[in-house]
Amino acid sequence: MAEVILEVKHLCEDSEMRAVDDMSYTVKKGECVAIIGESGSGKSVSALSLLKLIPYPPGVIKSGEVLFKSRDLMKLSNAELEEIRGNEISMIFQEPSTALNPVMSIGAQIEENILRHGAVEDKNLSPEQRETYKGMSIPQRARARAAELLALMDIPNPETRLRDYPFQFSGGMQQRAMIAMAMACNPDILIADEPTTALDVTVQAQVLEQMNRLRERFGTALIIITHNLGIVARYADSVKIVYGGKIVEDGDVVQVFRHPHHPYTIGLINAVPRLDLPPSRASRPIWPKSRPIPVPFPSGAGTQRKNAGRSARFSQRWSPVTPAPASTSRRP
Amino acid sequence: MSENKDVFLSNLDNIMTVRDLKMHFPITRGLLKRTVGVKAVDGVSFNIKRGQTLGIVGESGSGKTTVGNCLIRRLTPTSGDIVFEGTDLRDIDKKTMRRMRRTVQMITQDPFASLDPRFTVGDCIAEGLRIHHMISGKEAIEERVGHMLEMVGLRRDAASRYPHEFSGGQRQRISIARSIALQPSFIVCDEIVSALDVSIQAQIIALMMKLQEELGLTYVFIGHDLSVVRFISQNVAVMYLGKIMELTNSDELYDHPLHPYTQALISAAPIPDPIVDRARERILLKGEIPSPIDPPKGCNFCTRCPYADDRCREEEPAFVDVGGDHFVACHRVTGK
Repeated sequence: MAEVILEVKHLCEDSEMRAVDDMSYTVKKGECVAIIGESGSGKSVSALSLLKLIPYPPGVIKSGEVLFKSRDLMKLSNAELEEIRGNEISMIFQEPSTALNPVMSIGAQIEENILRHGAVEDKNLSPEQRETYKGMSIPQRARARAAELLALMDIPNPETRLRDYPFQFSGGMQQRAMIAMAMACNPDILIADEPTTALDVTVQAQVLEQMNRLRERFGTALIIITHNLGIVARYADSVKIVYGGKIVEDGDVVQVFRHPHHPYTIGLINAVPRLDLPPSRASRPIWPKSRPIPVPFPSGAGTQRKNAGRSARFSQRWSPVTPAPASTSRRP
Repeated sequence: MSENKDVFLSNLDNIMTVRDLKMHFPITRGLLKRTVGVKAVDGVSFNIKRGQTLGIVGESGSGKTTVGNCLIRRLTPTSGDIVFEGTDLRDIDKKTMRRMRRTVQMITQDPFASLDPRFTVGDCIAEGLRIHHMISGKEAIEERVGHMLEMVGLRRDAASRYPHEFSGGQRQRISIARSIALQPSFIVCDEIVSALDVSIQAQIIALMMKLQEELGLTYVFIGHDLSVVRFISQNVAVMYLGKIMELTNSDELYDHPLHPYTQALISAAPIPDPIVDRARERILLKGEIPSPIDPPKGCNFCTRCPYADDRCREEEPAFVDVGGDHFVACHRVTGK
């Protein structure tokens, strides 16, 4: 059994609304964990909370621990966290075009991360790397390492492309540059928040395949946050289904997809049309009646009032799963 | 292609016949400001049977939305015929055009942009009814609007509220109500579920299928998600760089995809079942879709095709029927 690398215990994020409500899970070394949920379910907030990236105010991490290398990330200062962010735990965001700095070249942005964490200093290099970078200054090494990373992501002519600006890259290449940046310091954990939502299917397949290859090669654990059940089925080892800020189902990927227990999971799996089943024979879509939206609390409300509000909210949300009306059957 | 032309026009069950549709946009390039045409749609032919759904699937830049815009005549095509209910949309007078605007509707992707924020939902739906003088009288219109809202699964009192009070899925329902209020026979659905969550997607697709059955509508369903498009459509056209690569019924498309691009597209779309998906053969395409400003010579797909040879890089493959209404444009399939 692989060693547990990240342990999240009873994480709660709170502001006007409780977006993350008592989430606990573990991530093993080199494992691919998928967090699935629809918009408003709290999946992204839960991932951002791991590195305390939630803007404060209004976001507050109310309680919970995130244990990484026997340290609680929630108790670290900002300066200590900055040593971890982008170095031991890095993150990829959904929109590469907004996540990249438009006025810095791609190379400068990758090198920034490498230099910030001293990834090319002698003490951080493996013996082979020390051989390769022999006699080079630190900026030269950073440039060489950046080119190496772009080449790893299958970007042609990496040395030339380093001088390009984000607008000269296509969406898929931008996302690959983001991954190169995130992988620059050989992180233990890579958090990918909807990494391929903005990409075309064929490009999505390329990018995911590359991410998976890197995970296998470097033993990086991958936390992938998505609403796309297909990519989860393809790559994930374990799956967490998030609804209304809570993990409603957690298990091995085959177990969750083949034998789902929670009505929401069943609804979600049935809601996705399957390419391999002829539509006429495909199961009819079944879906939860209402959408999981955390209800805002009135500001300044005391704990008591919040708890009262919450119980009402949950009963309201958990409407039974209703099958589609018979008239939705396909084709006359 | 010429021998197919007559086949396309012969069938009377077809509500719409499109033949060799081209839409080129002029742009100026370079120091000399030379004008070149971006071939957004370059010779597309298909027909749509009454009461059925034609799916158009493709990546961004494939021209699928441009085709949709040409079908409703929001764009005037550069060349080609679009015959709708026996009339060629390319040369009709203003009055016929106005009538046509009622029977041919479009629903777009972004339910936030397509509804006027200063109109109440009721006004949005009633606007078309007033323009086309379909019914008169405040009460009659109100009654009709209420009925439309109920048909799409919303409450009658939604009419007095504003679009911002509704979620994305509900707004998409309002857009649908607005379209069907005009009693159209033909609706172009351009990526209508792409911006929605999976559970809401399923609801909207079910609603569209219910309305099709009840009202006998014909759809052109444009999307990038092959599993969604295949689910709702009887026939699917796969577009790439302004051309249709393969066109056949949706079961045949999945069971016997002939074009290498279709095969790659099917392989790239993951199946939400870990055991089934991981056992599948994976075809990974290299690179990305080229810019339509500079399409490759020969077959449009030759830059990414794993089987491309010299002929593919020189000569453009014809779009031919290989039997059983299965059209494909590939030298490898059609041979010779």
